[in-house]
Amino acid sequence: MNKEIDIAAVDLIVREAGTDSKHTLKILQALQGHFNYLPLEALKRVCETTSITPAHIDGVASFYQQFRMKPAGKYFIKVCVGTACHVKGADKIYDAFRGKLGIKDDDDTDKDGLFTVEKVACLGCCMLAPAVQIGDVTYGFVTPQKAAGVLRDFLESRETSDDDAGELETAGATSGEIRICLCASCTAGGSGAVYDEFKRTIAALGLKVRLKTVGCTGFSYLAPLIEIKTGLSHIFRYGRFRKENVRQVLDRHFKTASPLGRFRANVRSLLERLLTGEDDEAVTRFSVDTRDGLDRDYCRTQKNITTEHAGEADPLDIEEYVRTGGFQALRKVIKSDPAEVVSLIEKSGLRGRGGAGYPTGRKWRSVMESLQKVRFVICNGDEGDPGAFMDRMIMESFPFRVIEGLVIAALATGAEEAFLYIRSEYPLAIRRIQKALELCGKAGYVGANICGGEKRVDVSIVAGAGAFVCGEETALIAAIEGKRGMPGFRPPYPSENGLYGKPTLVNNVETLAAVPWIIRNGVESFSAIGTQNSKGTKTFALAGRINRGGLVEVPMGMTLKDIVERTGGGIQGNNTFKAVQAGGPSGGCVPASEGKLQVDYESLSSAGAMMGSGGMVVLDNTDCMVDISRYFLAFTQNESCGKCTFCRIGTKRMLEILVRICDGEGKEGDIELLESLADRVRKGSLCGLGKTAPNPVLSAIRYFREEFDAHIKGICPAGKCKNLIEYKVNDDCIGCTRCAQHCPVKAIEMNPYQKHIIDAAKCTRCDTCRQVCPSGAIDICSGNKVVRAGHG
Amino acid sequence: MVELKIDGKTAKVEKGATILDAAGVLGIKIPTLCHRKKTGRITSCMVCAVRDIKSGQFVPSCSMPAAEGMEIETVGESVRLQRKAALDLLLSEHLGDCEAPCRRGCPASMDIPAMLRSVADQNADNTIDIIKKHIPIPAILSRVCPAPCEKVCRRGTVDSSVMISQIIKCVADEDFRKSNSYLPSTVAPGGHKIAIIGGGPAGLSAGWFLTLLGYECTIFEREKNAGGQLRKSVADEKLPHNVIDAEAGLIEKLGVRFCFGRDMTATGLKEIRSSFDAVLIAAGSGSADLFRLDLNKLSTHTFETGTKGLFVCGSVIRPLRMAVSAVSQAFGAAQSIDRFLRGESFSQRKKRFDSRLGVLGEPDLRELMKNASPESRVADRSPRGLTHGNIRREALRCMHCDCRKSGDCRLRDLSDEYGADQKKYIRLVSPLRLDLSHKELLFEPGKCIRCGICVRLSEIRGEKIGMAYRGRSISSEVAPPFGLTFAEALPGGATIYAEFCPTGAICTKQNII
Repeated sequence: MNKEIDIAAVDLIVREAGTDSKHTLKILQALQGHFNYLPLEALKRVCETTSITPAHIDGVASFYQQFRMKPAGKYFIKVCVGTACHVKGADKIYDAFRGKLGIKDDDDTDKDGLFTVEKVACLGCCMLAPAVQIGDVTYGFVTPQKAAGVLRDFLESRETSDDDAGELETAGATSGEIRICLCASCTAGGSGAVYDEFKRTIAALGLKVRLKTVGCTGFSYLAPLIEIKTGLSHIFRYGRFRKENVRQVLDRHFKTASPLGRFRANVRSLLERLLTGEDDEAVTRFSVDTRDGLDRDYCRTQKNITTEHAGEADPLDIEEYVRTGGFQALRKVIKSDPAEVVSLIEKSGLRGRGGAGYPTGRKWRSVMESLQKVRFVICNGDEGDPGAFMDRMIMESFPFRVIEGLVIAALATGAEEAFLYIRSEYPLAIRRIQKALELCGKAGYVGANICGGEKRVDVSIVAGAGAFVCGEETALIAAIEGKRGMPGFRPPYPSENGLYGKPTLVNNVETLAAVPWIIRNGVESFSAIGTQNSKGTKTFALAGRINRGGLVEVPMGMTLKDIVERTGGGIQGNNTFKAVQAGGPSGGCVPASEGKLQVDYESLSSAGAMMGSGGMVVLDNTDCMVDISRYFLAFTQNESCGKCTFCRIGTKRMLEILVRICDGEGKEGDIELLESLADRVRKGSLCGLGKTAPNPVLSAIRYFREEFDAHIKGICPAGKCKNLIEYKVNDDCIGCTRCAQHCPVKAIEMNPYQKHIIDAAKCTRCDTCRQVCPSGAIDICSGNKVVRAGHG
Repeated sequence: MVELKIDGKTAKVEKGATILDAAGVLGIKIPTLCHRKKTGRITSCMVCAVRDIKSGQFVPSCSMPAAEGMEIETVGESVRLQRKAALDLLLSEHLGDCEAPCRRGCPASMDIPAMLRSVADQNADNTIDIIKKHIPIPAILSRVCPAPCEKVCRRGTVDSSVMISQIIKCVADEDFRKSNSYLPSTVAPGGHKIAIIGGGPAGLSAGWFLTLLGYECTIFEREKNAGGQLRKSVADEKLPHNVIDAEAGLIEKLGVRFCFGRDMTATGLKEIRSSFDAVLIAAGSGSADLFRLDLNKLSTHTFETGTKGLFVCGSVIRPLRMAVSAVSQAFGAAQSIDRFLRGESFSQRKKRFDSRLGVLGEPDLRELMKNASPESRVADRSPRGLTHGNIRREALRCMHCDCRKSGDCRLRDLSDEYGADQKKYIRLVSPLRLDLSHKELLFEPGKCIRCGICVRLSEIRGEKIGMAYRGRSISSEVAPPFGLTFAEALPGGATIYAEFCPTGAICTKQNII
């Protein structure tokens, strides 16, 4: 452990970050950035040179997911285990990568130190589920048998870029980068020809642009896909790209060399044409990355408020934002009495979009009316719910809107300092907001003399370090103060005793993003949308077993059935709609039979679910409700801050009971024990995380109790729980031997033209045989009955 | 000022006071684990739950500010069950034995580990005091006892059990040799007279215990000497008669009157009862018939017969195989007689809550061996094997399975009070860990309830290193940072940590070397 480390680097980091204990997170993040992990000697050095104690720094370092105490591999393989990926087999994919890299037991890094495999709560690519991210490349629709291919692809793409083969670079500094995927499906889609065209045109124009082949991003249905990077924060992606568009794109994004200067004049008109879609339809422009607004065209059922101008706006074009009505609300507010603004928000009926739906105006009022002079406003961008990425998308795509909402909130509540707490898993959001803040500062929308007036609001970004519980406002405040993100008991509420003991307003990203629209369009236009007690719209991350997953913003009160069938395009394949998991780990499963439910805060709660942050994962008949319950409980247990008895131990004991039931070791009385413990945890936990942790379990028992009973009897009706199922070959087997060839554990003997047999003792239920079988001859049986026939 | 109602009573407190404070004003007791005045509100254990009647919700009383018009309930079944649920969960991961297996195995429940620590500390007075608290006739017993304590001694699973009974023998014999043999101070006599019939192990012990409690006892023995059945049936070389006489002599010295050669069956019970406030029959097997006792109405908890003031103990009830069981019954009977004479009602004697580790595996045993000297048995089992000169070496072989806070543990007290159930959930047990690095303190993370008091205390005291909350979820821990030892985390003079720790996770070493 006494490895020599660069002490000078540590000292420099401390000098830059500050020596107070409130800078702990910042220091640790910088150390990790420098060393790739947190060397013990570095932490000790920090304690020597600051007022931070060993107990404090070690407590913080061991609390957040982002921090590592041992060196990591060169590349991170991040296997998404978000809800949508989970139901599509993320665990099997995680195992497959570890297996391929020979990583065993407690290790997470291969012996060559090249790859570190880890699970991440959600990559926000729910419609590409299951998804895996390696370095900066995202692979979608991954299967266990594709693991080797993905690794090979990634390494090959590194190799070509490392030795500069396949890259074209002109002398001198480059002004940007064009990335093209040349994987099988993209080449099939014509990426080879596009690549050649780029190479030729760049050379002809003498552009200082690097042309680079990259690994597949997984968006095969968009192939060929090109990505253009100009500077640090600008990434543009074009799907279904044609070689005829090469010149246009180059003109738009790169300064052409002087002989071709005349093109510059055309750039704006080209850009406008691209934006309005009057040009060639084949160029599908995505403002941020492919995740955003993918299915927007399909979604006629939507109403865009927080996502206004989705798919059209350049996230960082402040002029464009102003042109389309941006900062009008701020200009209005700056001239108004804060009390008027607060009552406006109260009248609008806007409620917190991050969780329980507390009336936003009421929160604003209590801070506004505080007797203390110094107040703070915090934008909660710590969206950690697996299967939710609305806030990420809003921050990445509409950074100005979030900032405008935040500044308005600060003005209304009398705060001169505002913070944006953004989880570290969202680096692009952090970069965008950072850049947007710079632009706003220059334009006079943040900082001193806002809009030329007397008021001042300073805004800064605090990067989170990976802790779901920091979405809870007292934990979030602790994190900003550089502490472990452990919630405190409320009351006192942050509105009276928050950040550094001062009155503090904490609002979620989506809540703040709705504010400018409300003020600009008037309270009535907002409150006209929605239901009696839930006004306006709500964005949902729609994913799971549906045809069109993605981000949707719909009016409150739309029925669940409409969201699934009209917005989401219905269930995939021939399967049947079983339930919607709404609200993630705090929410619950609403069964298909409740499809008429109008989605708002109250109706979801009464159905045993929750609005939560807005994740909506659609489940079908192949999903096991016991497994889903176990999944969510495993998540909350892992994210429990470990402070109060009920959450720390209670959720663990609940999880153990669920694991036992899934493993076929459940006994009579287990369901009742689970229910009574769930009730205690709900009533006795300190904060919202623990109080709501039992919801997924209780709602599943409420609507699907027979599935729990079946598990106790040793049957998994959905054919999901490994210990309760068996894979068997039926008479449709044509003897093609594919199953035998692909079986990773050799549980099937190759027997050409004969019916194959699976050795149940060797079989690990990895599902590979079923996926590769061309004739649907592999059944899943449970309790000696076929629960999922081969063709199903 | 804020006015609220707690259990129907009205309390007025300053604004900012908690429900716990308000309850304190009314004299209502609410249990707490993570809350101490000095360390302020932490809100981790959730044992102090009370019910807000209006909202129906449970709130932690240590942190919830009292508010105007609040109505709080601190008693009743729903509150009790919520608190019990928290305790059940805390116990489900509690790694430790309240009492050592040897003590559990001893019918007289002698505090064997404490006795062995005292031997190791060479504190002879204290040692004999610990022994005689439960066994007034150690010289006799140690010669005849089959030592069930040694059969369950954990050291036996490592190599061989600690020679507990021989150590006791050496200690007791050494005590005889002194001119001022050990005699504890007794409660001043209150005038009550008790007749004890039978001078065997049960009668002798009962005489000792009752005299200590301030009663004038007379032992009536049919034979001419004390010892009863032991004197008749045990060979002299195993239990020399002079040992019996010497030990009975000490009991006499304490103040018990002996009347030898008196067959009380002839006198008749009625007459005896008329001249004594209570009578205890401890006359050995078969004596029930002689006294025509009706044992059908006997309470095995209180040892009281159907006749008021008439008690029995020992083989009179049914023949006992071990003399130590008779001693144990004598202790119980003495307690009952005391309550009877003080006019107190007999409360059902409940077994005290006792957290259990169960059977330990190899790694856990190795960890526990850190408490013990690795030496194998000092001598063989022959009567002359162990001498006063080498008992200390043998005593050092004890693994100290017991909890040093067993008599002063908030978690144990509350678990007892709320009838908490350690086995409610099947638990996956983590390995046992002991940190003995500190000079004065012992740190056992497996007993920690993550209350956070020591973390807060380190902050308040400005410790240079201090204790840290580490990690999260079920694997969160309270531990020294950076993998340092407990001694490195907390400097000397830190016994306040043991005092503040509500469990046995941090306790004073009490002379474990």
